[in-house]
Amino acid sequence: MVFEELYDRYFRRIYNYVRYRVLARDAADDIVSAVFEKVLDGFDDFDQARPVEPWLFAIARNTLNDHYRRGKVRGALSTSGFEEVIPSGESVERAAEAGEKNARLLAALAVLSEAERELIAMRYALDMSGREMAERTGLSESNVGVTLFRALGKLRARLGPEEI
Amino acid sequence: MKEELDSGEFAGLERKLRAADLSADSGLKEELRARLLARGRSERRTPVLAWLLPVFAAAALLLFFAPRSARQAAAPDYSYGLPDDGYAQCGRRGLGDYQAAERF
Repeated sequence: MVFEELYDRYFRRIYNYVRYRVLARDAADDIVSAVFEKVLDGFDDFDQARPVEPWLFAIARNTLNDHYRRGKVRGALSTSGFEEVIPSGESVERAAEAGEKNARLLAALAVLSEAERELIAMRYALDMSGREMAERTGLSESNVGVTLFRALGKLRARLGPEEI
Repeated sequence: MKEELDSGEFAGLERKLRAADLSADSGLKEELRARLLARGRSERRTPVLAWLLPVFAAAALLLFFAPRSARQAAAPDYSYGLPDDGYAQCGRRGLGDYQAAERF
């Protein structure tokens, strides 16, 4: 696989994974850029016989965690409203222009905790199994299932039946 | 777990979450793609060792010029000499030589 192929195949999933967690577009753009820069840095040394997804997802997760550690996002997030969630000041209206459905989904995700969003991101962007999520988060598999179930319940309540 | 949730009450929401493209409101995909591919091309044109060539050139110049004059300037003066004791380059007389020599 050449780098270009990998990029095209995984961009949306990596972007969704990051955006489900940080919500803000500017922060997501920065993090996703950093992820693919790192992927390109290590691509020549990567053993193509190995599966690419664990390597790629680990880079994405580590980059995101580094970003949180540096405090660029943590603390700026709020669960009280979508306008406050976006540190760049991007409004619901502006996001709605770009994609009303995505804006509503992101606004609904803002009511979830960081841990819940992480599970949503791993599950629906990276398509991880319950066991994989449990390994990466340190939670038990049943705990992952319960947390995810509750998070989906909150999302559905926020989005309303017409959105689902 | 996946099968349980998919067939359960959240199936519609799960489909929505999986199908979403949150990069739709961002121009990042094409911009980043162009930037990374350009970077990849420039790196292929310039091999890593090429960056070492100026270093090698500077090192060669130093070896040819600077150290020679430095060695000459800094060479210690060994001209203190030893009194000629008749043993030429072998050095000064040892204790045995003194003891063996006639004193008077």
